[in-house]
Amino acid sequence: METARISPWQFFILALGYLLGTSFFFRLGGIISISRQDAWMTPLWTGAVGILLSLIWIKLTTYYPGNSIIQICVQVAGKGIGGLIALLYIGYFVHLSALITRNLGDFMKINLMPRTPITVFHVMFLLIICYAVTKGVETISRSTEFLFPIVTVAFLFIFFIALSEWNWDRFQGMFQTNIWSTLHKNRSVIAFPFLESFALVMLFPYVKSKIKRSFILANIITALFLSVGVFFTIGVLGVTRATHETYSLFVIVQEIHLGTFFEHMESTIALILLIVIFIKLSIAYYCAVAGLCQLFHVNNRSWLAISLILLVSGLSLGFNNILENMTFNRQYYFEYIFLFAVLLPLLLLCLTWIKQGKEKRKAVGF
Amino acid sequence: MKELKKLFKLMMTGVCLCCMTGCWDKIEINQLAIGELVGVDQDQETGKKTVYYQIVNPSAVATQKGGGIKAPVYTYCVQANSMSELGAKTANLLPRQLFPDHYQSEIVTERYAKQGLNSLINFFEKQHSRRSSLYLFVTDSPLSEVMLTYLPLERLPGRSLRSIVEIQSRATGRLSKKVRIKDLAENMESSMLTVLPMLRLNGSPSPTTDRYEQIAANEGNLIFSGGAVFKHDRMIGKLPLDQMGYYTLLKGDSEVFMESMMVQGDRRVDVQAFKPKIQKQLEIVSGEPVWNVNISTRLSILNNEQTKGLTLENLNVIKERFNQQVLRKATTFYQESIRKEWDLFGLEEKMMYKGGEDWKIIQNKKNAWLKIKLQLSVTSEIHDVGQTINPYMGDNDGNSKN
Amino acid sequence: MIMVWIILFITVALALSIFVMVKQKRSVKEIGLVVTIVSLGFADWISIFLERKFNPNQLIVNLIDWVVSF
Repeated sequence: METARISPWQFFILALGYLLGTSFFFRLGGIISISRQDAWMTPLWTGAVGILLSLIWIKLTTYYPGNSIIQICVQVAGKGIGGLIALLYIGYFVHLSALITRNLGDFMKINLMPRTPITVFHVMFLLIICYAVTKGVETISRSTEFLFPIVTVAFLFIFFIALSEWNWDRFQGMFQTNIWSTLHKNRSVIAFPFLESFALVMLFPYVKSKIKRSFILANIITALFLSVGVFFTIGVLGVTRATHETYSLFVIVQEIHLGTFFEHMESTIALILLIVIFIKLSIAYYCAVAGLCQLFHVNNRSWLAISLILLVSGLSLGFNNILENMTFNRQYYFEYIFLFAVLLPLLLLCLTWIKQGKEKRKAVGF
Repeated sequence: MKELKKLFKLMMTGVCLCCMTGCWDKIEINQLAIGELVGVDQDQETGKKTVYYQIVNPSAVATQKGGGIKAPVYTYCVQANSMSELGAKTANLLPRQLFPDHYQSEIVTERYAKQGLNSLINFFEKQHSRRSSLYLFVTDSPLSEVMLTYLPLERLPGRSLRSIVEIQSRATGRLSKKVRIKDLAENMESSMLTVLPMLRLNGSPSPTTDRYEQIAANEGNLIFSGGAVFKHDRMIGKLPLDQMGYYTLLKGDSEVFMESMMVQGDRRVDVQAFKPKIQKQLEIVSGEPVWNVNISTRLSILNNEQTKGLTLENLNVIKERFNQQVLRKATTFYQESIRKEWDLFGLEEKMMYKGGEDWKIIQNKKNAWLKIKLQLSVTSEIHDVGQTINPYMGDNDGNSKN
Repeated sequence: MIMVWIILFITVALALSIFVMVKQKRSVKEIGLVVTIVSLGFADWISIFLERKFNPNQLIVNLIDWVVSF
C-alpha cells in the first residue's frame, strides 16, 4: 500500500472538487426540471440526507483507522465473502470511471466537436488520468490544489458577467411546488453528487487528520453552492429554457455578450469542465486501481492502471446517446449506488458490531 | 532497457499526436461560408420554407479599409419543405460549408410569424453551434427584397441590424436588447407576450454595389418601423413605433426614455429620462386587482423652445408636465393593450402565482387579469439642463405658428 | 477493418507488456491480473465491434427492475 500523506486542506479541496465540479455542469438542468422555481431547495435537503447517510461509512471507518474500504471488507467478512464484496466495490469504481468518462465524451461531442469519435476523447483523457493515478494520490491532490483556484476564479468571472441577464420575475411561483411529490424524483440528486462521495473513503487512510470534519464540510459546501448555482441558473436562464437545454451552464456561457467583442466564450468553460472531470475521474480511477492493488497485494499501480484504460473506455460506450445516460441517472442510479454506499457499509458495520460483541463476551468469559 | 523506454515514449508521443482531437473537427477558414444574416419565410398554403443566407465575402471585408468596392456579402436562397431538408439543399448550392456560429441577426417574414415560429425555434435551439442570443426581426416587406439589398456604412447587413437594436436601446429607449431568439423561446410556455422589432425596406432594393457610390443613403435601406407582438410563437399584432417607448418603460427594460411635450401653451420641450427605475407590485385594493407601478427617473433637457428663462419654478412646471404626460400616455397604452387582451407584462401569470384567500376569489373568475387596473405614479428630477441655461430669445422662436 | 487493427494493436501491446513485465521480474499474480483485465477489456471491445454490445448499464437496469418487482 502507498505511503502517501495528504493534509486535511488538500483532502477538503479534493472532496469539494469531486463533489461540486461535475455536478455543476450536469446536474443543474435536471434539478430545475423537476422542482421548477423551488429547485434551489433540492440541493439543500438532498445534501442533508446525503450527509446523514455518509455517517454510516464514516462510523465504519472509525473502527478501522488506516484501512481502506477494500481492506475493511476483507477484515470483516473474511477472504471469501469479503473478497467478493471488495470485488463488487472495485467493479463499481470501474463502472463509475466509465460513467464519468462518458459524461466528458457526451459534453465534448454535443457541444464542441460533433465530428470527432467519442472514443478519442475517452482514450486521450484516460491516458492522462492513467498517468496521474500512476503517480499517486499525493500528485492528484497537489494538482487539484493547484487547479481548483483556477476553476473557482473562472466560475466567479462567469457569474459576474452573466448577472447582467438576471431577472427576478423568473422566480415567480416560488414555494408553490408540492415538495413531497418531488421527493421521489429528486432521489437521483442524493446519489449524484452526494452518495458518490463514497469513493473518497478509499482516500481516508492517507489523510493526516480531521478527516470527518473536512469531509462533512465539503458536503455542506457542495450543497450550498449547488443551491446557489441552481438559483443563479433560474435567475439568468429562466426555468423554461433551463428545463429544455441539456447543458444549462454551457448555454449561459455561450450567450454571454459583453459588448460586441467579448463573446463566444464556451471553449473556456469546456476547459474548466476538463479540469473538474480530471479531478473526479482521477479519484474514481485511483479507487479502482488502488482497490485492485490492495485486494491482490500488488505493489505497483502502473501496469494495472494502463490495462484498465481498455476496459473503462469500452464500458463507457455502454450508452448509445445522452438520453440513455440521463434516464439511467434519473431512474436507476440512486438504487444502484444505494447498495454500495448504504447497504453494504451497513452490513459491514453490523458484522463489526457482532464481532466486537463476541470478542467482548469472550473477554468476559475468560 | 533504456532504449526501449525511449522508443516507447517516442511511440506514445506519436500516438497522442495522431489522436489530437482537433483533426476530425478541424475546419479551414477557406472552406467555410460564414453566415451573417438569415431570413426565413414560409408559404401559407404549401408550407414551403424559403431561406436566404447572407454569406460574408471574406476578401471584401478584409480590404474594406483599403478602398476598392467589392460585394461584402452574397445572398443564397434555398427552398424546401422542412428544416432538415433545407440543410441538404443548402449543400447543393453552397460551394463551402455553412458556418452558422457567427450569425449576427435573423429575420422572419410577417406571414411566417403569423403562422407560428415553433419549428424554427425548436430547430434552432437543437443545433450545437447556435447562439440564441442573436436578435430576431420581423419584416413586412417582401423577404426577397430585404435580403437582396446592400446597406451603406455598416456593410454587413446582419451587423447593421444588430447596431440598430443597440443604438435604439441606448438612444431612444424604443427597443430593449431583450429581443433575442432566447427571449422568444423563454416566453414560449408562459402567458407573457414578446415584442420583437419590425423592419421595413425603404424604397426599392439596391442589389448591386453601385449603391455604395450613391449619396442618397435612405433609398433601399432597412428601417426599424415598430414592434411585432408574439403570443408564444405566433405573431398576433403590431405595436406602432410611438408606443414602443411606453412598452419598454413599463416592462422595466428601458435604459433611456424620450418624451416631447408642450409647456406654456405651445412651447416645445424635449426631455430624456435616464435609466428609469421601475417598481412593480400586484395588489388588491378594495377587492379589485391593481398593478402598482412606480417610475422614478432623472431627466435631462435636450431641447427648450420656451420664450422665457429657465427658473426653478419653470423646471418644476416641466417636471410636472413630464410626469403627467407619461402617466397619461402610459395608462392609455396599458388600457389599449388590455382591450386587445394582450398580456404584454405577464400579469396573467403573475396573478396566478399569488397566494391568499383574496386572490383565490379573483383567480377563480375567468379572464380575471383583464380586470387589473394600472395605478401608475411617476416622479422625476431634472439633473441636466444642457449647455445653456436660458434659451436665446429672438423675434421668431422657430415655431412656425408665430 | 478497424477491428483487425485494434485486435492487432492489442495483441502486440499485450505481448510487449508481458515481455517487459517479465523482464521487470513482476510477480506472476500481477501479470495474471493485468492479462485478465486486458482480456476483459478486449472482450468488451470485440463485443462492441460485433454489434452485440455488452452494456453494463442495461444489466443494472434489468437487475434493479427485477429486484423492485418483488
